[in-house]
Amino acid sequence: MSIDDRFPEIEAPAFSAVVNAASTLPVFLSIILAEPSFQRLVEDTLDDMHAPTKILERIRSLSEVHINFEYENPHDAALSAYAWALHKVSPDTARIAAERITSAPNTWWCTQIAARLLREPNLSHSKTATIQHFAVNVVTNIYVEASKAMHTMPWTFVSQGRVQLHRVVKTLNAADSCTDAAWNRHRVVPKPQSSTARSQWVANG
Amino acid sequence: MPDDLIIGEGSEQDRKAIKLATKRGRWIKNVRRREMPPEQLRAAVEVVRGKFSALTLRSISATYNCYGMVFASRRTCIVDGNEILNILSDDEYLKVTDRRRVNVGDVVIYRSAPAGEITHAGIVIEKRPRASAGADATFMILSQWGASGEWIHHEETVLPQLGSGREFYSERKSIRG
Repeated sequence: MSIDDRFPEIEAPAFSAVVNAASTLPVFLSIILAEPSFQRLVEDTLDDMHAPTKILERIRSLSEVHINFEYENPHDAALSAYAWALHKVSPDTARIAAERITSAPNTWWCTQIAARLLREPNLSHSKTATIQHFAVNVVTNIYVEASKAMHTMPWTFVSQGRVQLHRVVKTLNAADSCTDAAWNRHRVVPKPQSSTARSQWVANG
Repeated sequence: MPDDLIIGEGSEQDRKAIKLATKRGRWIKNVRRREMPPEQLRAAVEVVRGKFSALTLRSISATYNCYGMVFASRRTCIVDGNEILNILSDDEYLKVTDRRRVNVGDVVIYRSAPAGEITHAGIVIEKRPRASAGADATFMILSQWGASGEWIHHEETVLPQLGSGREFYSERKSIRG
């Protein structure tokens, strides 16, 4: 099935009724994750490279639907589910979704989910440094410093070239490569490469 | 919601929050929710009834949640499940560990697992006698299911995500002397 065929399930009254049985955001998210229609949405989004864009477009159009301002937004649950599905599949796109769902009026869960998504450090949009290459399987995880918090992320995520980093603080690896990488705020100081790790760290900041 | 997703929301500085405090004067964070469109409320009732035939609807409104029903007289939503233990403590509730001592008017707290996160709350409205010797009494509960209605239900009949672990609390007082 195409991703478009999943939209009616998420926007159905049945979906809203079930997920709205939650009183708090953690319970709301646990109900969403257990909903088969949401699981299908995530699976189909993983299978279709154009799905995130389609979901973003769906979010945009639903956010702009005229509503009766006396009441809560009837698309609140669906918009929240779309944003959370993108969070599962494409965190960068989820940030855009979060910004879009905040434009929908009279929402309840959307506001909370957007706040949560937007609070997460925006690693991709940092302008100080980029890791551009990456040959190795040795490095398994790296610690990165975003604007405020320290995070760990898989090396594979970095090696896909999708992440721009504020500052790499430390790598975790099986060998001795790249540990304690010395970075200053705007410039990477390459470490001598070991024979097993031929990573090249390039700063563009 | 976990630790202030939206800065100041529900706090004393939030003009949209109602003044709500425990017996000891501790502010209870709360957020007022708009009513849902009537057609959506109707759909919620139909869906819940479809899933749980044994439920009885008492009322349908989205403007309060389960904690708001139990601790705020249906006036608002208490949105931080982590606050519930503070409320119980400040309001002089005691945990009733012996189910035989649970009575009408006591509060039931649901947890995601026996020692897990607090997920739901309700009020005991009926104590059903033991079905057989050696069996425990069971309880009928009144609770608000998020925005999907206030339901009378058996203590075990809730959405799985509303919790499987249950604890009972009571603020009952007796006259001494």
